[in-house]
Amino acid sequence: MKTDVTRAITKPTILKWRQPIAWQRLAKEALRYPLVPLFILSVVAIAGVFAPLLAPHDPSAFELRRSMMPPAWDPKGSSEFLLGTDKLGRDIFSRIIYGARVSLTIGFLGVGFAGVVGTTLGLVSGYFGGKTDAIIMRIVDIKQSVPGFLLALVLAAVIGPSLQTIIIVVMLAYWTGYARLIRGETLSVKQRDYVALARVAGCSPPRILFKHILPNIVNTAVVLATLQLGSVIIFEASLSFLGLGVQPPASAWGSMLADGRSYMTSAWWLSVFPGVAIMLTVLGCNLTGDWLRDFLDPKRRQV
Amino acid sequence: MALYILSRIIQGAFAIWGVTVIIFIAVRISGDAASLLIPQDADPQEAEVVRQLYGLDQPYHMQYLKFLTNAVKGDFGRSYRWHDPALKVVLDRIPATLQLAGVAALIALLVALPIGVLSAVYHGGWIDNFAKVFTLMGQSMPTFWVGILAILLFSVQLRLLPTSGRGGLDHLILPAVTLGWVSMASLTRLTRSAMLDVIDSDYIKMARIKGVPEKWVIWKHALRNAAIPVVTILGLQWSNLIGGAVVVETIFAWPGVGRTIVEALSNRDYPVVQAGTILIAFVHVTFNLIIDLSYGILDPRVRYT
Repeated sequence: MKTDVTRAITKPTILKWRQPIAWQRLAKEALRYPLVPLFILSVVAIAGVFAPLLAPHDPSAFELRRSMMPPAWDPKGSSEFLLGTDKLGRDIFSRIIYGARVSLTIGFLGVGFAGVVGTTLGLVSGYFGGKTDAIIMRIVDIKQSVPGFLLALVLAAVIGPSLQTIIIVVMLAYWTGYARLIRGETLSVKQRDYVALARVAGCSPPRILFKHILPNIVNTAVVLATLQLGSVIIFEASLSFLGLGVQPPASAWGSMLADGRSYMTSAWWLSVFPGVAIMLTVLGCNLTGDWLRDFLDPKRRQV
Repeated sequence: MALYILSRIIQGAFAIWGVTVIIFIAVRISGDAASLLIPQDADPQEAEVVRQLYGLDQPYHMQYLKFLTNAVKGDFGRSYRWHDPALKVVLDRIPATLQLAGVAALIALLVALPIGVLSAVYHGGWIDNFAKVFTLMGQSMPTFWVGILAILLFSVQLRLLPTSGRGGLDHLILPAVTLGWVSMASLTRLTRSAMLDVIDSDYIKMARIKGVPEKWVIWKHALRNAAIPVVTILGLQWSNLIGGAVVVETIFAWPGVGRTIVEALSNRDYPVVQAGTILIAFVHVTFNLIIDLSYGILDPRVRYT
């Protein structure tokens, strides 16, 4: 059997490979980073932050004479209302821009709080073990016995829906993921030498937890957070759809879809565009989260 | 093995008890529950009588004890709206939800397993690319939007399927596919990566060397081992399926527990809310228990720990 070496010696060496052209190298380099998802996310973020400057109309301004207009490219539409208007005459495009505020605020704050609470409990549970661990894990079990969305519904309905309520409810629904994850990581890191050395040196437990253990496991929490951002946005949209999200006149993508539901046969644009907004935002979050997870994967070696 | 089952059952019972505490507190967070039953302009004395009637003048832990003892007997009070026992209201509607979630999970599995396996085996081929796009799209679309789009496409434009209600197979397809959509996507992704891992392993190479036909290698040996994480995730997905059922039932007017709870919430019908949530938790815990125990069948390594 001819080996590769034999083959290399017996075949004439014809140079078939050439240097990639500059732009090919640039494209290859650029594709290492998640450009498209980050672009989508920055568009959404800019829309959210600069909404008053970017939106052509006031999102809560009624103009009943202009109600139920189709998007601009339809013959009955007008370029003044790019994506059409709803039954109260509000511009869909402006409402979508303002809706980005709600989704991103709840997304970041919700995931942030859930992450902080869950990580802290996970650290405590993993490090101290014993009774504390048992109690915290039982609470996690109990919480996971109810579908998070259902619990969120009940709480939001009882407390009264508002931006603050939703953030609290998101935090209560998502904290257990972090607790379990960080607890696992803490358990494995706990055995390492530097932790033992810190204990011998007389460090107090909080110091050990936050200065020695946490920096080594925070990566996993960050990856989980980015991956859950999309899920939280859908969560909030679902709550708004059922009427338990931020209340009118604030515009949320979920409630826009709920409004459009009654007019599906006549006004398809009410039901399609907010959904597209949600989908693109969540797609951006998921892709970025995937990239981040691969990027921070300790098994990846930079050669 | 028996000890393992027993300990899991006790864990489950404890979890359900914890849920009753949480629901009890959650429903009463907004304060005086009596204010819902008593009109604003009522005589304070009459209000007091109503309070005593419902036991709402007792301290909270007494109320909870009463609630718990009644709950164990199956008495969750009477629905404020329908005046039927709350548990009966919920039990009547749970088969519809279970049917919906069950069929959704089945559809998700039936789609995800073949596509996942094929995209792993023909890594890089057109099925693989299709699967990648499919999983991305599936996980980024909110369930209710999938439902709305499905109705727009199949009921409004094509006039193929009915838009709502429970009935024959044609009424079941759209809600079930909508509900299973997201699970389909995650399960496909998971199956694909699990199969990719398994195909590289030694025992698969061994089976090939032994001369086992390739079909058997893939579909019997590889899939069985890849199925373990998939079954785990399916158990976790169950929670999402029930949560999603709430929304799907609302869109398709499917007469299930989820929709009932949402309506009960807007009607302030708290006995039904309590009964429904606790029942769902019970179903959830039981289902997870079954899945845990099924590991013993799927994965022989578990049996000996």
